Amino acid sequence: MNKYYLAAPILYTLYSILYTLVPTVHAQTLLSPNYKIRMGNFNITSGLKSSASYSLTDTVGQTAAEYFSSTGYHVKAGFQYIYTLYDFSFSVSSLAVTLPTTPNTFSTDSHTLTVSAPGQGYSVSTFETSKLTKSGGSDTIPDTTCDSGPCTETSATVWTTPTNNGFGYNLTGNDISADFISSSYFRPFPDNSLGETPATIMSTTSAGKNRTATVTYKVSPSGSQAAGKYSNQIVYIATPTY
Amino acid sequence: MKKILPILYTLYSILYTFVPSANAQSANFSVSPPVVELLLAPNSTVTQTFIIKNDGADAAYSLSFHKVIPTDDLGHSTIDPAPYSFVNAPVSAKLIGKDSDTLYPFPAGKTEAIQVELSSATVDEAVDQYFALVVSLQNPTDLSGVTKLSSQIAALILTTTTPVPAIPTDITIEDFNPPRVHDSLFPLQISPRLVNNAPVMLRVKGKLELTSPNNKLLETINIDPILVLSDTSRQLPQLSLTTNISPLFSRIGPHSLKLTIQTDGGRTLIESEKVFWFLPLRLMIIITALILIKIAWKIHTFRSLTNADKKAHS
Repeated sequence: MNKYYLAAPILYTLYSILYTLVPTVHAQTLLSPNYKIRMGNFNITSGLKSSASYSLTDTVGQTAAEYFSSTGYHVKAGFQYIYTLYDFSFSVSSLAVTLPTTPNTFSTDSHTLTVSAPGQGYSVSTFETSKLTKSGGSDTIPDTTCDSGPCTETSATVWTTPTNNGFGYNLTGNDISADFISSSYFRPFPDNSLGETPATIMSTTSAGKNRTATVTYKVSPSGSQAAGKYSNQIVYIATPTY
Repeated sequence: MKKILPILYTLYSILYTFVPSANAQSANFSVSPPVVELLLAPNSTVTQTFIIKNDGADAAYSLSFHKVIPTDDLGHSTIDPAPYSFVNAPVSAKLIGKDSDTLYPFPAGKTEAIQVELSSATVDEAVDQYFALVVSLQNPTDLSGVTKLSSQIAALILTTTTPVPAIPTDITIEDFNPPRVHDSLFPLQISPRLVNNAPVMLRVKGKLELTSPNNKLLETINIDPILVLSDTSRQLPQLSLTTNISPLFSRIGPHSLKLTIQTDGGRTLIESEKVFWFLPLRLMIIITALILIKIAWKIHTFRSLTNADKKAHS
């Protein structure tokens, strides 16, 4: 019998073992038009400290005691704190969203969010000041619960059926939360009037420039929704990492 | 037709040039510095200046202070929408020359200096307080019947107020668990976590050292300075070792992995050392399997010859 006939299954098993046990190597992109490598350590002098359980926050040979005796404070915003050296910028491509309200029909509108954080990572969170409310009245369009799931302020699910009425948003692009799997996944906004906590929608620990995400709003009012113009206020907050 | 086309083209160009864009106003602004760490003695005052710049269209801005709430151990935080109350707080903040929640014009391209006066109260022991100056940009146009968007940037103000220059430290290392046996052929990746149990934040740096069985230092990875807020933990960036060690077979046997965490000034706060084995596991599996194949083939050949002999003699 051909000797290779016996060796083949064994070699296949070996290959499978190798393929299974070899860890996946993810290359870390260090060079990119959108990223900068953070600078390394600065040399800080060290000195004899007074106690095993206490630390003096000294920089460049001076001690906190010296700062206190002369000025009473020490502001750590100088050269050794590289994340303080760069502007942290945030842009929203539109400050207004127009959504026609046709019963049991989806209406959408989009805009982009762009963050530049050359010195550190960042996060963007969002909330609505209240539900969509009729101008001059108190009727509201509820926040979406999507098709099934349901979706929550921190967990997006599919929302493609217009008769599942409500108001929500989707995100695509850089550094977005992982639950926005595709353009069909939506979340409702946290409602600040109900004390709900702002939801994080973009975040990263990497420094970068022009990190952009597209927000798509979607609304579908019910057939019994009172006619009129509905609006609210959506707030986006960009926060640097510390 | 030949005469009409250029006229139509000219008309189209005129229309395209003069019809205003229907795009809603956008917002694009920046703040510097985005994070300030402040160490204060009691009953002292300092003024911190923040520079804001409008890189977009004409807008209006307002200023307010809000609480900063850490959300994970990667340095992210969220801003409490409610205005921050400085009543009984160790540090109070006040805008100089501006009022909170008042809209100020912010023309396109303008840069403004926002001065914040920070004053510390009397404290008996070291205490931290984290809040943010939030700059909100709004469309100055009064829009009704449409959903308005407000874009905000938070500049973090992280403070420690201490009656004595010495700051208490209580930091522990978690998730520093290299495997007992690791394959020599592949990088060793670990991601330990630092837990700050003290009432004040601490900026630390560190290093990770890999030592061979005969106490030779094989590799050192320096850990960049990292801030750990009080009563929180901070994940160190994933550290990957053995990527530059050669020759390959120096990675066999018991090795030592030592993590040292130091203050910004270089004093060692805590160390942790773990011993693990480097073995060429996958190579050993392959060699063993090849030996077994060889043995199996020898047995198969022997049996085939034996059967052939039997048939020949029968």
